[in-house]
Amino acid sequence: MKQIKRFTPLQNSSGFIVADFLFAFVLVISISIFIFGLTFSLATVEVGQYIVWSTARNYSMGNTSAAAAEIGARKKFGNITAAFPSLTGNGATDPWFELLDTNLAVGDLSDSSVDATFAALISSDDKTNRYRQPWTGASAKIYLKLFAGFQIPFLGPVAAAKEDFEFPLRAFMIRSPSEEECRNFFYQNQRYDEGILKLENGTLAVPLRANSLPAGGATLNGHGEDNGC
Amino acid sequence: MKTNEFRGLRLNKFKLNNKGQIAIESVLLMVILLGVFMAVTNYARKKKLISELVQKPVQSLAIMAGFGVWKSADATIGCRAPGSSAGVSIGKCHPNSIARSLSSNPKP
Repeated sequence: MKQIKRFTPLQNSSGFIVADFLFAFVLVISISIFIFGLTFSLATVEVGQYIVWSTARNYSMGNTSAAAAEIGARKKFGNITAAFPSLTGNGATDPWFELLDTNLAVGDLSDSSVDATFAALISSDDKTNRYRQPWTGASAKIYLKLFAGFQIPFLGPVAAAKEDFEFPLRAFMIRSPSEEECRNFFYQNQRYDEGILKLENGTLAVPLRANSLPAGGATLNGHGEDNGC
Repeated sequence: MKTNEFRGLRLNKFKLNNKGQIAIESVLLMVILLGVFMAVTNYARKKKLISELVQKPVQSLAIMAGFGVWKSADATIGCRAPGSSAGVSIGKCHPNSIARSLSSNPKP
């Protein structure tokens, strides 16, 4: 005689921990990935800032000419970014971040031909005001590609506008005079013409130039302000 | 003895236990919770809550990296000229724009 099996639902909670674990595991991993993307992006901005600052520092060093200083700075940028391919995209096919030399600007960033975005945001007064520091340095754009590409299930993308995750990093440092500029300064009479001669009236009684010594010994030694030359 | 007297509903044809109630209530709870979940996630997607949560701090970070200040790029609410309520561009707020207090001829 065939025996009919009665429906006997589970009478215990064994196995519940498995479902609970799976749910918690997915939740924790998801949140961890999000926090990892955020913190890693912040850390990469710091790395990027160091790279740009190092580029500006290289540009600030004395060199044979301003053009040579820029070449040296760009080489420095290339060397450092190549050491972090995943963070900069230099040498990586699918990087997590981009800090490319195509967006690198070196020199006077208040010049619109060097960094048009920045030049448009400072006033003309700041560009020429001698009481300000020069706007000399380096600028490069970083793109937080990894974080901008995150999609959270059911809640949507992290970046509504991906262009907000691409922004410039800037570092300013006064450039030291180059050898070429020093030569011009000393050898083309500019030390006198551009410096001493322009001092206020009376600070130097009589201009003292080679081959044009003034008459009268009393006026040979005037009081001259030290102009730093 | 068999009688024709009406004795009400003949309950003995139905199960007299509450087995199955949990299944019905589970379905009901699932529908409600799923509905609430869908409503919340739809609202979050429509209002872009996640991108709002992340994007504004990233914008502040971008301004700090590019201009050296924690200000808004919006001239009407962000950067102010010294001693004035007039808004100025974010470039004006860069620390490099501040007159050197130790210069030989400081300007306000």
